[in-house]
Amino acid sequence: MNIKNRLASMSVFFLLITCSCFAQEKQLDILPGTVLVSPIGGLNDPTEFRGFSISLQSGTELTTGANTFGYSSVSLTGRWIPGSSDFGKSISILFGVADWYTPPLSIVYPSEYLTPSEQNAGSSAVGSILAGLSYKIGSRLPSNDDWGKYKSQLLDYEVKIANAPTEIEKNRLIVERNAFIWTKILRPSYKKGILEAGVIARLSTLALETDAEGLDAFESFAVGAGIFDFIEGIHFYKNFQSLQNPTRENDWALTCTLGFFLDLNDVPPVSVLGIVLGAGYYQYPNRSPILPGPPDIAPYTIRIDGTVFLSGFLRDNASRGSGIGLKFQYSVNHPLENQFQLLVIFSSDFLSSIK
Amino acid sequence: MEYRITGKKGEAANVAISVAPQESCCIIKGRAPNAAAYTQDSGQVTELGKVPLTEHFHIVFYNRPWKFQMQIGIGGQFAHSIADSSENQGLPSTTILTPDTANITVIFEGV
Repeated sequence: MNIKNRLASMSVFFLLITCSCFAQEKQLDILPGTVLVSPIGGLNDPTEFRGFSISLQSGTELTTGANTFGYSSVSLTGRWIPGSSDFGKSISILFGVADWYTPPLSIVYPSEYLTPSEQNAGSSAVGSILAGLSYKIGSRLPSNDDWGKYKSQLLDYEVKIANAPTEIEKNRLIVERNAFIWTKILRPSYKKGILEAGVIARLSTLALETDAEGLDAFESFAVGAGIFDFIEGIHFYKNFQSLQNPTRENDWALTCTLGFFLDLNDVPPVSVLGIVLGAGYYQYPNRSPILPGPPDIAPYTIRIDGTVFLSGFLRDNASRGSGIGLKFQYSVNHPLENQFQLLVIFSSDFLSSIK
Repeated sequence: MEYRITGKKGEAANVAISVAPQESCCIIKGRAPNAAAYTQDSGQVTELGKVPLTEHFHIVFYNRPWKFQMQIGIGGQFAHSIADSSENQGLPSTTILTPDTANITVIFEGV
C-alpha cells in the first residue's frame, strides 16, 4: 500500500468508550496500562481485585471491510470476582454482550467458489451473549510483608501527620505519605507477574439472523518493573457449527498480542504510554468450486497491527484512562484492509462499588 | 470512639493493645504536638499513668483484613475490651491506598 492510500485510509476514525468500575481503585486513581485493551478482542487485565467491574466499548466501522472475523466494534463486558479466599479471588466470572463480525465471503473466496447469493452477501456484525470463567495464578495485592519492610518509615509519616500544626501541613504530609506508599509498596506489587487463563463462550445470540456461536480460549500474562509494564495475550477462537451457516464450522483463529507500557508519572494519577503489537492467523473452511475443475481451497489470512497509546490526559473526568492512540493494521491477502486508525478512548467510573 | 472507665484516683491506668497484622499497622499515642509512635502493640499491659487520665490513640491499618483488640483497666482489673475486625464490618479484604484509621479516646475517671 502506498503512502497516498495510507493517508486516505487515515480518515477512518472511531471512538472507543470505556466505562469501568473497580470497587477499591477509585481512591487510587491509577491507570494500569493493561486496562486499555479490550478484554474481548485483545488482552485481559488481570490486575483487577475482588468485586465487580464492567466495561463498555463502542466504535464505528471498526472492522467493516476486514477479511478477518472476530469481536467487532461494540461490546459490553463484565468481570465478577465473587470469592474472598485466596482461591476464590483467583476465579473470575466473565459475561457480556458483543458484536461478532463475519466478513463477506466474497473477500475470502474467489468467485468460482461462491454461489451468486454468496457473492452478493455482505458482512455481518451481530450481537452475541458472552459467558465464561477465568483463573488467575499469582496475586498483585501487597502482602503484609511488603508493608512491613517500610513500617518504620510509615510510622515516621504517621507521627508527623499526627503532629502537623495546620490542616495544610497535614494534607501535604498525607500526599507525601501516599506517594511513598505508591512508589515503594503499591506500584512494585501491582507489577508482580500474574497469569490468567480462561474460556469465554458465545452462548446464544441477540439477533435471529446471526450465525455466530463459538468459543474463545485465552491466556494472558502480565509483569512489570519500575515504570514499565509488559503483557502478552493469546486467544484461540473457534466457531461451532451453525445451522444457519454451516460453512462456519471449521473457522478458527489464533491471535497474539504484546503490550509494552511506560508510566509517565511517579505518583498517581499516572499517564501511560503504550505500544501494543498484535498478530493473528485466521483459517477459513475448505471449499469446493461451484463448477468442477479447480482444486478445493482453505483460505487463510494473517493480520498484523500495531497501536501507540497515550492515556491519562483527561484526569479530572476519567481516572481510568482516557487516551488517544494511532493504530496501523496490515493484512495478508487483503491490501484494502491496511489502514491507519485514530483511536480515542474515554473512560470513567460509573459504579462506585458493590461489596 | 470514646471509652470511659471509673476507678480509684491514683491507681494505675492500664491499657493492652493487640493488632494483627502488625506489619501493616501503625499506632500513634497522644495528640499534637506530643503524638508519638506507640510500639507496645503485642497485647502486653502498659501503664499509661495514674487515674484520672485521658489518652488518645490513632491506629492506622494499611492492609485488609485487620483485627485489633484493646483492653483498658484500672489497677489489676480490666473492665473494657474493644475488639474489631474489618471483615466483621463487611469491608472487602483488599488493599487500599487511603488507610483505614481508628481514633480512640480512653478516659480513666477517678472517684
